[in-house]
Amino acid sequence: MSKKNIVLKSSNGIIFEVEEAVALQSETIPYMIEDDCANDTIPLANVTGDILALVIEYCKKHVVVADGDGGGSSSSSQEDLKNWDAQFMNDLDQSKIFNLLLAADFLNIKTLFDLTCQFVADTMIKGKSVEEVRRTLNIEKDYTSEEEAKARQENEWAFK
Amino acid sequence: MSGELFIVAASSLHAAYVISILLEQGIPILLEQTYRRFPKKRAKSQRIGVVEEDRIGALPDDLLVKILSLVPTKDAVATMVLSKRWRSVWTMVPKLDYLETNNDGVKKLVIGGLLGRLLRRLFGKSDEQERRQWRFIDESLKVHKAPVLEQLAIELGPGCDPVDVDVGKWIDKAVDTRVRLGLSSVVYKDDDSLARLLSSCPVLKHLAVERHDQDKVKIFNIQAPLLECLFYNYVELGAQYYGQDMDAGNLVINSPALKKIFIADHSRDSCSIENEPRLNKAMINLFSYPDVKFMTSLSSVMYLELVLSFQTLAWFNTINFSQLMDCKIILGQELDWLEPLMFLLQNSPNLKVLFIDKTFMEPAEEEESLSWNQPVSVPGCLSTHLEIFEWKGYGGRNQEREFVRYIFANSKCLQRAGFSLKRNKMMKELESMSRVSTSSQLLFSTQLEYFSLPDEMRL
Repeated sequence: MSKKNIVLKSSNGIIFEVEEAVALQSETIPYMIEDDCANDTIPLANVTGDILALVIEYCKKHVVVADGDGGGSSSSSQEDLKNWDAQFMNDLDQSKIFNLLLAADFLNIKTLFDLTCQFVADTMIKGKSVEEVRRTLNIEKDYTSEEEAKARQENEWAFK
Repeated sequence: MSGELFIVAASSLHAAYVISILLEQGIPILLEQTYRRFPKKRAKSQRIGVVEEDRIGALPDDLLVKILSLVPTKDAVATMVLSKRWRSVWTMVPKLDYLETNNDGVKKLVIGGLLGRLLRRLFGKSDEQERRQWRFIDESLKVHKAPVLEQLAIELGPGCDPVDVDVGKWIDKAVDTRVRLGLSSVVYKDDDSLARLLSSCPVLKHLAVERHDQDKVKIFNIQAPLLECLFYNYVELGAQYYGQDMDAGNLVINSPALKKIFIADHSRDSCSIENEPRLNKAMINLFSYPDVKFMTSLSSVMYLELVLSFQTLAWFNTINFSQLMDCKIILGQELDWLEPLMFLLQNSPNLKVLFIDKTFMEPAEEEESLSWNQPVSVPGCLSTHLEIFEWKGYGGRNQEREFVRYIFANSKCLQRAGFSLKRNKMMKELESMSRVSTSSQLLFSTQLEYFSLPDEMRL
């Protein structure tokens, strides 16, 4: 079976050539191939080169396993993949994480999208106090102290 | 769009699911599985500290909603005071999860048996905490705005009277939702209060009941017209139960659409299935007394998992299992079971998989007499269907050996025979038995594999 390559171009003009199977984990790219059959390069106006590199790294890792034994991957490789995913996310800073989330949404790569959302939910919001979430996510409090106190009081059921 | 609605009324511990099989003498065997979330890794704090922009606020609403749908509802609701940007984001979250998560990220866990009761007493929530939780559910549902609520998970403790809870009102929020209800250790006012609770959820498709041994219900009548899957557990019977007139465990299932049942009932009272539903899957662990209608309903099952007891052993020569393809027999007490099993084979012409599990038996219990006589005619399923025969905890008693020899000699379609052995020397003996299906494989395992419960049992 001959392998077909697909050329992707990031918003800042960086070119990536990847195997078709890697690129097709995105459900958006097939439509772009159809729409743009005259040109071999698929421009991705919403994704910068550094983020696209991460997306491709993720897709490459996941395509190998999906091919592994013709469909159902063994549980050990699933376990490896989970660990790899955790490490992959853990190595990113917040700016990359949110850009990756947007890219996964735009490219419609469901597993990457779910992974990123879950990571944000688990590490930045879940089980944290309001103050901790603000600090973690650099959210500026645009309520005055009185407004916040009022909101808390009106909804005191939500804060024990 | 169909979502799922869970209302889990549990007493303080959280339920993924557990089946606890209390064997005859009240020895608890806990089989539990917990649902683990994605491994929790914390981003390094110094890295987070470097970021100075509010990047998450730049995300579109639908992504924020998606993220909030992944945290406990308590945390999602609290985001309303983060900033003006966040004020109403949480109200669009389509899943409301009011179950609490412990530190390990293990979401829900129920422990059955005596240990579970003890833990519940030690760590159970106070009435005050429960009332606060109710108010939280009530108030947050008032503010909530998402057009479709796909999932609602609520945990109610035994301190709450189900009459006080307007379950119907909550379910009204969840239009288009596949309704699932869990009732764990709830104490009712009387039979009527159970009936009212069930009638307030007319679209109920999935019901999981774990009964409290003194729940004040005389006849547990499950009246639910659309119910497809029932999980009923009544094995935690305290000492008080046996001292009483033993009349509180009656079960009546009145659900014509029922397809799957998982019933563990050690009450020794009656159980009945009305309306003859066409069941296709049944897992049964009964010491109570099923009526004829119960047996009739079982005749359509394709998958049967049965913990043998005197009561259920009688089914083997009375029920015609015309659809049965996959049968698992679990022995928890010594019974003269081999000959009845041959009746089951005679009555199950389409059986493809037969699985016997004796790992729950103590070796010392195997003193009872066991009879084996070769049947007059070979069961049809052996000649034409049986492909897989497995035996966990094979002990190699004389009669058992003869039974296996018979299966090997007559199963023409056999593809695989598997054994996990109590003593390794039996391996040679089994290998020396001739198999009529010469292409079949003989496998031995030392692995202890756990019960895998079907997905629909997960709460």
